[in-house]
Amino acid sequence: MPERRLTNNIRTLRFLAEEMTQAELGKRVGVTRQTIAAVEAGKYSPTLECAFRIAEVFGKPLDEVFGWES
Amino acid sequence: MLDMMSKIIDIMSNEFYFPITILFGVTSMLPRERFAWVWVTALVVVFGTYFTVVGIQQSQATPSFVARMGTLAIALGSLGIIAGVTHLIIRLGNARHEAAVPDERDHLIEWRAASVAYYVLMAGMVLVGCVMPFGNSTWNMVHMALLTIAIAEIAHHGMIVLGYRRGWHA
Repeated sequence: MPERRLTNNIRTLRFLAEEMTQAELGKRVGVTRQTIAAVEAGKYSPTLECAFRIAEVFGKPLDEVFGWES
Repeated sequence: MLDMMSKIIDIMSNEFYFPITILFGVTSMLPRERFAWVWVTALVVVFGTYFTVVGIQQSQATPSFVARMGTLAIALGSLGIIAGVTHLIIRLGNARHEAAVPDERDHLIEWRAASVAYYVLMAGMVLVGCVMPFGNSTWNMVHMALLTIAIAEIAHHGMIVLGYRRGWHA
């Protein structure tokens, strides 16, 4: 099976949301700023619930925020 | 100026892991990671010193029960003081910290670290309980049990640090 990894557009979406800070996003999602930073950097794959919450903050469907690429 | 200094220290602590900057919170590290760093360092220093002293004591003559218990009490007392002071400093410095409540990533890191530490502890306890009783002195068994606990704790908090530094791909 080819190795695939989770990608995300959180940095871009934060920029488009008037440069929303990681801390603010974290607060709205219910996680710490460090967790948002880890997700953005691809160091941590969030739970499905957290991923949906992040997408909800930006008002985007899940697949516009996260990708599954090889 | 303070912001720039904080950034420089942050980069330095990311690269060189300065325990002092970690303890006093001049980094973006979570309180839990900060405590893990201090605790790993304390365990290595205190138990490293303890086992060196015990080795020297045993090489000279058989130490008395009081001497052994005294050395052990100093080691465990030091750890207790370090843990208490570290918790206090971190708690005071992060009274209104956003990360006061652990989130899903913290729980995952803790769970994985505890799993690794469990197997380390089990292996050590099998050695102490099933192998060492045949031909070892009581104090050797006590020391081996202590060493096992120390290694398991180092593995536990070492894995926590690794989890925060390197990240986990769940």
